[in-house]
Amino acid sequence: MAKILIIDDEEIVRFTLREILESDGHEVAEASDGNKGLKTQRANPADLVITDIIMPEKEGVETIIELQKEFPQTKIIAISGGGRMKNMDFLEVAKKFGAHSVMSKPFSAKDLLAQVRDCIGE
Amino acid sequence: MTENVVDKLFRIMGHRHKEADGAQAKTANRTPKRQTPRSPKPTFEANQVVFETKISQLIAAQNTISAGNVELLNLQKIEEKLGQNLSDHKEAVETIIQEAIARRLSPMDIFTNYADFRYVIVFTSIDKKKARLKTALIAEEIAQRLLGKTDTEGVISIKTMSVKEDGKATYEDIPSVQEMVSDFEDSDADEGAETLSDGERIAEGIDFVFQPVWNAKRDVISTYACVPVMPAAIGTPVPHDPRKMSKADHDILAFIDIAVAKKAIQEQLALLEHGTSAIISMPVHFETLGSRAHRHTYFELLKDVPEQASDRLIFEIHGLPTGIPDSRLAEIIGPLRSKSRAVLAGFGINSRRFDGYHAAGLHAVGFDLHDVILPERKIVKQMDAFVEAANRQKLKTFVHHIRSLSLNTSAIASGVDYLDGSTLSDATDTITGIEPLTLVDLYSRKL
Repeated sequence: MAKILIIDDEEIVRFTLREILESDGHEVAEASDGNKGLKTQRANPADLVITDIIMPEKEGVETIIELQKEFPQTKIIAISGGGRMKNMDFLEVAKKFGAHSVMSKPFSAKDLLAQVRDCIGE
Repeated sequence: MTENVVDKLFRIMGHRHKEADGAQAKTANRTPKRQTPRSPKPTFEANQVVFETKISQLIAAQNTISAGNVELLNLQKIEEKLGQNLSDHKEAVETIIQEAIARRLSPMDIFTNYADFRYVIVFTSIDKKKARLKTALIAEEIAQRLLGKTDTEGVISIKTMSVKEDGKATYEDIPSVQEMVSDFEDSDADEGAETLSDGERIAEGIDFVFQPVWNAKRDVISTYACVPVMPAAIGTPVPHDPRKMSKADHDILAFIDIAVAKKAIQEQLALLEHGTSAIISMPVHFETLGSRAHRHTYFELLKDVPEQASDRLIFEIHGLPTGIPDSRLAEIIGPLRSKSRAVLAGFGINSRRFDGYHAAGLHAVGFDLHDVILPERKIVKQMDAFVEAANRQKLKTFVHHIRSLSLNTSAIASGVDYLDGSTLSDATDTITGIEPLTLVDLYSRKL
């Protein structure tokens, strides 16, 4: 089981992910943007961070870059719906800047858990 | 009164019908050598019409002539002094003279050579004393550049012309340029900048920077927005972007718009001369385009821009009212479209009604985040809705003053086409040409 931090500006997404991850036995924390996510991670470091890309205040790629600097051991999964334009270029960029895996929204619970297990080495 | 004044002006100069071959009305800051391709040499009549029209507009708008700001600059003695050397270099000499004049004039001033080596300059935004001083400084520069000395005694004469209420003109000689320069320097210390009007303040202090604009879908900076700024040194509180001065006096707005257009055109001509590819965009206010007099002055300025340059200019209209009739819209956008690569229009972030703009010739609509004080979450929602409404009308979109990477990311996700702001690139004095810029480049700066 792992400690997982979810960073996403949409409450419904955070809620859904929490439900899926907790039902699989993981301990989950939440933050609504990159700044809050980094603060949470500093206070109580997670093993895995799942972060959205398009967010106000501090978006996902910048958050990944900072997480990589401060917590190089922490695994990161980047998720995105690509916004109004369904632009998935952001996920490629996220991978380039340190995300271990990426997932485009919407995704299934099965796919999410598979990615999580892959990241934490179960 | 207008016709009377113009008649008087030419009568006093005494060359209305005999020596004006080649006379050419010019506006300030225009470098004559760059006006290529030249149209056939205008006739005197044609030039007189242009000059008279401009003077008439200035009189109507600002009572310029009666303010006594018409200076007559007589350089015929220079012609004599240069003697035989002149015939081989006459064009170069005229260019030096015209550059010396244009460099010191504000964008609303005009000048013309009404005969060989005789010029009339109409100052519009400064008082008589300053107009005389400027003319004196012009004379000194011409003497320095052509004769190698600043002493203009016996070489250059200046007359100040005044037209009174009844249309009668008077003029007075200025005996010594040096004396006037030193007189002004002595008295200038007593006159603080606070005596300047808004127009004068802008005239004295306006400066320009170029804000690189990112084409997000092509990963390139190819456009530079010409932004007028007023340095704090002249008393304006902070460097200011007059794109936001929509409630300011219309004459001042027109003044700024014309100054910006002149700078943008000059810069584009210089870029072409150096083989540098870049597009320059410039703001222009609806107030300027909506006023008959200002619109005429503005389009006069664009008239001579060669196609090669106009194809690399973009106009961005500000203050376009909503619900404007299609015919009026076409009247505003059409002439700009014919002298540019594209015409854009800036609105508030809440705007959603863009019907008819594409058909009228607009390429893109957008907004400025400079003064938008909203949480980023709300900005992102507004941005999404704005872009969606624009795209429905087949319009591209732009956003000025992107101030964070998160807003930049959201703008791209919303589908905004053109972005600028400190997050992307700082404003610059020098346009360096087309530069690639990718998302990866932007994030790499954070490493």
